[in-house]
Amino acid sequence: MTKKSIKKRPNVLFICTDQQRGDSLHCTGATWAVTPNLDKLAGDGALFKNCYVQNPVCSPSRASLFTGKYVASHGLYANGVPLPEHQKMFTRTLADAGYDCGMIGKQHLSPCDNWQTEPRRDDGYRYFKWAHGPNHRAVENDYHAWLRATQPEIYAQIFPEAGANESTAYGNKAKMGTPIDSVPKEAHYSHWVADCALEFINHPREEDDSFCLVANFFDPHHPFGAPQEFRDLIDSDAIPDPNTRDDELSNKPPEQTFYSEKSYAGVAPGFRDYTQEQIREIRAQYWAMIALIDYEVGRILDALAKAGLAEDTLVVFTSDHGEMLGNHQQLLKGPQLYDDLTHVPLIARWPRKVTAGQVIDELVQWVDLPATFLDVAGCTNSLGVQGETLLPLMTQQEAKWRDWALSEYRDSGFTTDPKIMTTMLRHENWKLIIWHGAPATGGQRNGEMYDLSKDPHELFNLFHEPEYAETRRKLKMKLLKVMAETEDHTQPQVRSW
Amino acid sequence: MPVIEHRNILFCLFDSLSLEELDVLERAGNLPSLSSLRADGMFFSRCYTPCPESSPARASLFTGLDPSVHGLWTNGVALPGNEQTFAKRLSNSGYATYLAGRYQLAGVSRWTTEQVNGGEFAEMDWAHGPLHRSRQNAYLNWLERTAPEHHAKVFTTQANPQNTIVSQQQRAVYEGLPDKLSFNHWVGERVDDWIRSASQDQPFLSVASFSTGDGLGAEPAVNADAEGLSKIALQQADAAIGQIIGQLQASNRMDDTVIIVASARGNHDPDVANTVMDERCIKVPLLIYQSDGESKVVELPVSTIDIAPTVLDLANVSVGPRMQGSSLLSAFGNADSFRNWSMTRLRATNTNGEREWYTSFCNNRMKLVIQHDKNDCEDTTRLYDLEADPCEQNNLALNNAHIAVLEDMIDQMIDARCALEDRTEPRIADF
Repeated sequence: MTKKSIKKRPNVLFICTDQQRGDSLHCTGATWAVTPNLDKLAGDGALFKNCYVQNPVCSPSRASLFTGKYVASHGLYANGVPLPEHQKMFTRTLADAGYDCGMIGKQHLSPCDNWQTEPRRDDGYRYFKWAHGPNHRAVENDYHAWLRATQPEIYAQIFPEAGANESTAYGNKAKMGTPIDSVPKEAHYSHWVADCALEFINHPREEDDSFCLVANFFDPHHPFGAPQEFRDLIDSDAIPDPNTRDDELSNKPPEQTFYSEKSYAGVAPGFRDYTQEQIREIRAQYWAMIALIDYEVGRILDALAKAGLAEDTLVVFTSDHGEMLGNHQQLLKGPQLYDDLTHVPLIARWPRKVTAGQVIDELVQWVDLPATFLDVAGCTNSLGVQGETLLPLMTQQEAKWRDWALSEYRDSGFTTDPKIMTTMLRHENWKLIIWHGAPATGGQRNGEMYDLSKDPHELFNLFHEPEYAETRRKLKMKLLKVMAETEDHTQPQVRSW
Repeated sequence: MPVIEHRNILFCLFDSLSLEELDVLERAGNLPSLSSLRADGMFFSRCYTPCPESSPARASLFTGLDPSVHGLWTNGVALPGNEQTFAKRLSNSGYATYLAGRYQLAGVSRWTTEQVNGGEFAEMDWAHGPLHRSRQNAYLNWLERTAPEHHAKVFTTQANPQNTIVSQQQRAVYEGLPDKLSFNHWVGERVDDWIRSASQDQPFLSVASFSTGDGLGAEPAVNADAEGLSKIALQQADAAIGQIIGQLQASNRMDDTVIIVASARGNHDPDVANTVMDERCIKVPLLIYQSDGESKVVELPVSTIDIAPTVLDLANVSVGPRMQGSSLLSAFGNADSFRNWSMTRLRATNTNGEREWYTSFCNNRMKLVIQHDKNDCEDTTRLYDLEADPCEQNNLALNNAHIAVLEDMIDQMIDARCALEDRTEPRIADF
């Protein structure tokens, strides 16, 4: 490869939040959200209105990002399962192609329970600043190291040697924010992510060298707390009440009533443990966390512009899954495959190639992101990515695009007995959700079906309605076709037989 | 190590051999060795392959994984190097291991030599088939040395990697070879010689991998004479098995040797659409013979992905986490706990470059076959009551009276798909 062709490769700046709903930005419908920087990013690039993740909880979803494979293929089907050793990461491929790669924040491709440190894989990173979360007490928590160095008093106050938060379930059991969530922004995890990103972006490089940075914010993940400065920006009265209706759960799979009572299969407080006022405050704190993220994303984008790199950098902003946020009378995440959990924000900006101000309606998926990164970097698909590059959609080329999206929960969150496995198909105006039975699990087979053209908020389950039986059967056949399509056929057929 | 702790395994492996075909020839009394093993052994009357294509089916048989998991999803794809076969596990556990004949866990078109992943078999006499013209085809090298005049008659020209269709005339000449020069006779001789020279102090796995069906190691093609050819080949294989057993008996090794007879797949005829996934295509023979074992017919639906864990179980070697099948020894003892269904996928491309994608699911009574990529038309869907209609003549999917059964089978297929996904990596923490 000549120097000149190398020079053409853009940087990749991948900014990912944790547990951020697709409709949580001002530009995606939350008029009460304070997200000027992200709204501008969308206006300067392409805003994807229908991006779905392959799984509604962290670790399996992130495995789909790094491998480009569906959950059924990459083998990290649940939190607490390490990504199988033979699976490769797209960052390794980019590093092999000469990219300077870095990762900041939470990665979660291996178990982090019991304050475990996530082991390094063959990831290709030069720069690696890892912190599973702001309360995660692994010795290797780089955020804690930074906080100790920059704000020793805050660190000592929140994390005394024999602190109160030694339980690994501390953050999950907290009803509202924990002390670390509401520290001044200069001491906040989100600020640390941006500080590290600035350090990485400003690292001296040859003019022709490209970078790929994965910057992972922990927020707006629960506990629901944010610095007061950002809580003050949110008008709680402008936030609508949670989306539900009277007696909603009576025609939903009965597991949802269980998840309404307790979240995380009993580990965390549930929707019904809160007063209406507390739920309102949770929602306000959620958007306060997003406002802080927006502020920190602004700092990162400013740094990129100041370094003269904005034109030749593909900036992607997204999130690994959503948050129930009291909708459907539920909180946090789990086997539910409502848009609340599976639909995420997706913005892509690349001034040199992507026309500003595009809104893209196609059903796209998280597995498409690594395909896009490999595409812009000119790399071949040696790691077996199953997704498709989004570049043709963004550059308005004639592109035949898939008419479905798939998300699969496989006992992926805190476990239950019997194990819960669910599969979501989005197709045309429909959403089909299968609650699997034998032989997949010991649970009772059940389902949900929503006509999103008439019921965009997924309140009326049509799965058991006799007049929709034919539609239901057709959608099940479509699901079988999609499941066949998403089997891993990436091993190359190098001979005809 | 004491021999009885780790039994020897003689594995007689076929390809393109359906249970129906075997039944017909056995009933005619043409296969004395196989008939005798079947009468005295454990016979599985409903064993299904997870794929009707050769290479994915064989990879599943050797790894115990569904084709959607091991990654060898169609012919011409190589088994990924991270996957472990039962042969490799036995090699690593101190077994002497050997294979004669076809392996096909990687593509071999254009007369190429198969690239075998490291550590599979300590020794191997590889020959994809009698008419496969790789220079490393051990059978053809033997034929050329042993009977050069016959070799010259079969192959009148240089091997041409651009043309791998074998002519009718070549087939006829090969078919006319004396039995003692046939591929399956050679496989038996090699296995027999190898066992004879194997150490008595080390347990062994010896795989006699025979050639049946019409391919003969050349390009898969439909052949009018296939049945006749297959019959002769099967008789030659039966004689070879008889010879090996005779030698085991003579050397007093029968008591510590388990004999397994299996076919990786049935007869798949890609050009006859309504036969794809029928019972001839996906139901295969499987029998396990132990001299001290009981004679029994198991009628539960089982899968060839159960063979690898069964071999390891018989060999008293741990199965390891990355295996989806279950040892069939439990099917004898505890039928209730055993899987009661089977799923088969075909993900091939036909000669016109079009996808031939089918999925079949059967439980203890019903069978559903779906053809993908046909505009979601339900009219290509087939639903049979195998109990009332074992020959699959009456497609219930076309009859609205059975719509509830159809949807129930669709549900079961969806759940079976979910059950076969790759969840072999153990969960070691809550998050």
